[in-house]
Amino acid sequence: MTTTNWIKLEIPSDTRNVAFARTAVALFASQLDWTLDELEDIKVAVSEAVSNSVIHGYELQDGLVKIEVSYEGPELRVVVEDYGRGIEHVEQAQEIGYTRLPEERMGLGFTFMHEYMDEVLVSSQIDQGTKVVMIKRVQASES
Amino acid sequence: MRFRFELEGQALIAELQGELDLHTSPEFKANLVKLFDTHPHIKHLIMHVKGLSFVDSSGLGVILGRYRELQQRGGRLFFCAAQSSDQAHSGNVGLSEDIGICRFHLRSFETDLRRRLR
Repeated sequence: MTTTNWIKLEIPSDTRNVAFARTAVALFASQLDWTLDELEDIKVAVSEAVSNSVIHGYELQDGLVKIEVSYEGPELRVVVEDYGRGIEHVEQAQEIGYTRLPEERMGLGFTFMHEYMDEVLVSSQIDQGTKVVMIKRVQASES
Repeated sequence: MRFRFELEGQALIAELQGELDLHTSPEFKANLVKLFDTHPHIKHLIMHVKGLSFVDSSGLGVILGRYRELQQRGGRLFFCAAQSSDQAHSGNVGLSEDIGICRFHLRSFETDLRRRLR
């Protein structure tokens, strides 16, 4: 059996699809040997990234969200990409509590991604879109 | 996502079932806001979260938003996650002065809490 595998998903930007996206990614990721808590972490991180595309990338309008998940050995890689409005200040956007919509949002989306994944890389261009790459590695078990 | 609300004295009891995310939290928030607005005497929020299987930042935002409101009203927020009816009381773990986390059996916890909040 090879130690690599991948899936690609394309979903319309729609709040209903956030639950599908995180569940599908977790189901695929469960081919690796995570603890239940780690699988929950992955679900939260994916939920945050896809939610960002839906609320901020497309501002709840129509759009396409692309999700690619792959692993090579113990390293899981999740890429969430949209073609929406983009993020002007990528660094600032990842600060704890930063949000464009302070009335209704906590500004914790990126914080959760950073908290629950080993690496989070964000690239974005105004009116072109945003791409979030998240990496998480299975910890070597002690037994 | 399903939720059920009950008013008991100064406490609003909310029972949640399902996943609280970008799609489901707006309706939950709208219900809470409406209840808080129409019942200014609500001081405490007791959330039964045993059936809650997922929360992300949008769900947390709704909960913390209400928490701020409770603080202004001088009340407390309780998370209640009873595991089973015969589980021994494992105590009321205080997260901070005004957030309580409990693993009490639901009914005995509620009875106790209702008595105290009356």
